[in-house]
Amino acid sequence: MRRRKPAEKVRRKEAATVREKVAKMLEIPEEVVSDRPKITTVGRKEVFVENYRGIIEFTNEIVRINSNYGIITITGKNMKIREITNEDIIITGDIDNIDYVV
Amino acid sequence: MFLIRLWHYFKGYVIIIVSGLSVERFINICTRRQILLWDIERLNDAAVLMKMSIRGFRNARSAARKSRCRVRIKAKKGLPFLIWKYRKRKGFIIGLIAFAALIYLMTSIIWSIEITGNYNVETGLLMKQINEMGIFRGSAKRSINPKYVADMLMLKNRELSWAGVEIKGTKLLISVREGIQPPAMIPMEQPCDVIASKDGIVISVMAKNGLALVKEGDTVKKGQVLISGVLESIHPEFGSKYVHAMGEVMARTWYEVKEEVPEKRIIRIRTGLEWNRYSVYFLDFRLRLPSGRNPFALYETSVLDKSPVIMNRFKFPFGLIVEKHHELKEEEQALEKEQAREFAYMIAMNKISEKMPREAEIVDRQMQVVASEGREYLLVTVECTENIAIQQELEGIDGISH
Repeated sequence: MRRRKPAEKVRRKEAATVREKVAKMLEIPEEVVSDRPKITTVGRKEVFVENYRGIIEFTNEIVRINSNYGIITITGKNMKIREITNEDIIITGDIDNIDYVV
Repeated sequence: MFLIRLWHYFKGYVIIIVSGLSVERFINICTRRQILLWDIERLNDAAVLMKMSIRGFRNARSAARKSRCRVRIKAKKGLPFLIWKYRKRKGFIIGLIAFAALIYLMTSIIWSIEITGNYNVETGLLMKQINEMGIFRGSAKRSINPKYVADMLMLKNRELSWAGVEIKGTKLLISVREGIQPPAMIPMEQPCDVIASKDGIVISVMAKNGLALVKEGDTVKKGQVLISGVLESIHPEFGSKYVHAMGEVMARTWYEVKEEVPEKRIIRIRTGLEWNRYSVYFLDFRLRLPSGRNPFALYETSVLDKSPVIMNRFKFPFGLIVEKHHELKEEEQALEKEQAREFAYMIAMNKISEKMPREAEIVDRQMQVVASEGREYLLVTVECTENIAIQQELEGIDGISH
């Protein structure tokens, strides 16, 4: 029991959950049911992040966003948060990089 | 984007500066409590600028305490703050409400009634019936039931085959259609003759009742009996029988007009000078504004109604009327012979068509130039075919007993 626990945790992070499997079977778009973050960029000026958990750091040069699959780091210049709600966050600015830190 | 901003403006929002070591935590707590934040900007290491709705700001107090941040309002924006600022200016608010009420009131009233589609039924009669139903200029729109009005008009006027009532803006539109009436009963017991209404040569005789006295090719004089209503028996001892003579007698008739051929013609042209008279009106009351005397001796006027109309529908019962007076001058124009004759011909034809019954059919036109006493005349003769039969009651006979 004790040995299996960390292994399970790793599997949960990487492998698809039951919910996602069902969604795939029924051909429902995954982002509707999954808790994976969805990141959309429009040009280099805008980044939408859906399904995030919270922001960790926010400055003009770096925005770090916590999600279920690790920390999303967005770097750039003159970055602002245009809108932030419970589900999504819209970041604008001159974006250089979008990284995952697991 | 613009719409969202407008929405924020209407709801009101505050621009705040949040300072502290964990501003991110403040943002997270706010979002978790369904407080919308937008335009978040980092000012320095310890301060962030953001916008927040008024309602959110009330709930953000505890979030600030939890995250140990200081919240300072930089500016208050939006309509609620504006209203709050002007709350003591009563006249302004009263005026605003009065304006809205006035607009509402003015557009909820019928300001004009239009009746269209009636030819034989008089407009005045229909208007009177509408007034009897309690509908006047100035009646409230919602007191009018268009279907009821249409039904009542149909009931009261047998001549109408359809009536439609529509409220369009501040206008009450009443459109009616008139049906074709059944022909009048022929009084068969009234004995009569058919006589000629004018001179002519008979082309065809169709006697529906009675005895035809003329035949094709006969020349008839005005007043001559064409179809007799008296039927004589071959045995005189039986007496005569009287009938209601009817029939159609087509005849060739002539119309003649002599028209002088003019040498010149007077035409009126606008000089280009204008003078306006202004007046204002409310309902039927019209007030002329002092605008001096009309400086022209010879002029024509055109009237412009400049009353306010909203969206082509809501017309108000007041407005400005501009009477434009255009100065005219008369000019004599010498006419060439050909032109003059044409001119005379046109006048002559107009005169003839006034004399001719509408059913008459023109068969031939002839023109003749006659000169007398140094003047030239145009003699226009029009030959046409028409029904010359008219009925004339037989006198001294009371009625036909069968």
